[in-house]
Amino acid sequence: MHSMEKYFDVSYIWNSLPILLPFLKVTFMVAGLSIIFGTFLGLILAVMKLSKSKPARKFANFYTTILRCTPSIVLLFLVYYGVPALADNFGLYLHDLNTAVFVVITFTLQFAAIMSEVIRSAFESIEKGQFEAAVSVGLSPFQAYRRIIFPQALVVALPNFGNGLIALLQEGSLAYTIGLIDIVGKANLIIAANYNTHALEIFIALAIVYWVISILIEKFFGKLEKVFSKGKQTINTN
Amino acid sequence: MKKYFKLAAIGLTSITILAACSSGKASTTSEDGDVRKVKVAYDMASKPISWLDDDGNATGYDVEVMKLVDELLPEYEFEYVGTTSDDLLIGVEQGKFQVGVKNAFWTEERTEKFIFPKDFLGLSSAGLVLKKENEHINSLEDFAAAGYSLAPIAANNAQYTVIDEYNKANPDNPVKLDAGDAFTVDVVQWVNEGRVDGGVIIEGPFQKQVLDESGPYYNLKDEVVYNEFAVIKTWPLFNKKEQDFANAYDKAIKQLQEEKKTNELSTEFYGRDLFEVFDKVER
Repeated sequence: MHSMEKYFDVSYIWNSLPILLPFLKVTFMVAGLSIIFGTFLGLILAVMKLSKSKPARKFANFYTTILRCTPSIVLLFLVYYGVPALADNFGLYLHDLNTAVFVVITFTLQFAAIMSEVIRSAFESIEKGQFEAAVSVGLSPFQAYRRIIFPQALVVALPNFGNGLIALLQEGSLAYTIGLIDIVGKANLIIAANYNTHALEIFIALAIVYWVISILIEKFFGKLEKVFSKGKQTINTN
Repeated sequence: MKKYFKLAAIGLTSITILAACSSGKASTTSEDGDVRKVKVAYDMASKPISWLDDDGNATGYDVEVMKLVDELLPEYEFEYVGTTSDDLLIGVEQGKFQVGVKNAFWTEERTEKFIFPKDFLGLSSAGLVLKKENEHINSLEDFAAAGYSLAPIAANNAQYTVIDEYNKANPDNPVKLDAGDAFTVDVVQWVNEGRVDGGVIIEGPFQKQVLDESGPYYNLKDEVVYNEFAVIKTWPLFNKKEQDFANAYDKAIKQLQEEKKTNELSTEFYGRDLFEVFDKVER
């Protein structure tokens, strides 16, 4: 413990926080775009999984299995090196693309796989009978989905969506490996500026940021779930 | 982490095969055709050798020498790309970057993946960080004989190779060598903490961490010592297809060494002109 005091310096934690925080912008931008594109792609995959077409179901399930079996860092390197290399074959020069683009592609592909399962399971959790009942009282199939199935499926999907979001944010920390300067990248640069010393303090500061964000997201989705479940209970009591 | 990189390497191999099927033309020539744009990758977290400073500029010994090389090569335009050590090695090998600088040592294994030019980029003093009471340990032989433990070194870090080569040459008195999964560990801290008896470090960072009055570990200056065991040449690593570029570099670096520019930069960034001890250099 005596020697510990000689190098552990709490002030490094507090001093690094204001330097780190502006770089959340990059972290959020990358995560946000991945969520938007990933959810959209995930929706398409979920539709394929729920469709009657066997090839579509096969493809979507195959995609999900492969993506879920690929570690994030491997996928990141495959996209970062593979996409420009493949594009070269088509005469496209992509080596000047911003690193962030490759990070967004990687996490879009990954988030889509997660979301396709979240959406599929949410829809399947709603009894088929409800759809049939809705259609039988005169709603069009689209109306039945929008008014009856979707609001209920959303409540089922929300916690899993929130978990996926937190996971994505954490996996995003790998992006520094290919040189993206997000909040993790900046933390590494701060450590480098200190000649690779006081890494523990800087990483504690980084952990604090991640803890706060994750807790906020968790709380937000908890609230959201309550708000949306309320509607569901009204239907039940009616 | 390590095994992930292995997996990544497998994936890369397949991509390389794919890439090999392509036209094979490096499409890095700029539009006017005279000046060729090349990507120079550097480790952005290796101060004072190379780093990305607070203003967002690439600097450090390795980077500044490359900037001078660029000035002497009007037919090339250098673009500096900051990245991590791991990515730099893969990226230069694959051709994403034409050259990379990261205080790289020569190793047999690396000659299969990269072109080493004829002339080196800089010199690096490698040594052991030890507790003050062990300052009599002046060589790897002494260190091994004492049965001391060494801070782990990542297997793709050439410092690992240096120790490994010593071990192969001295099978009766080997240093206990562990492969770590991080490229660098906070060696001074590990030694001071007593987690290990010693660790390999480059003099430049040690100088700035411990001996410099504004260094973050200046308070440990009486607790730990640095004992040099080798002065080692460092090299820019060129992609296998870049022989012409490597030749152009050789022409420029020769001139810079003659003009003593490399000596000046060594003094500026490492606090010492390592070229003065050039006769001690073994590898």
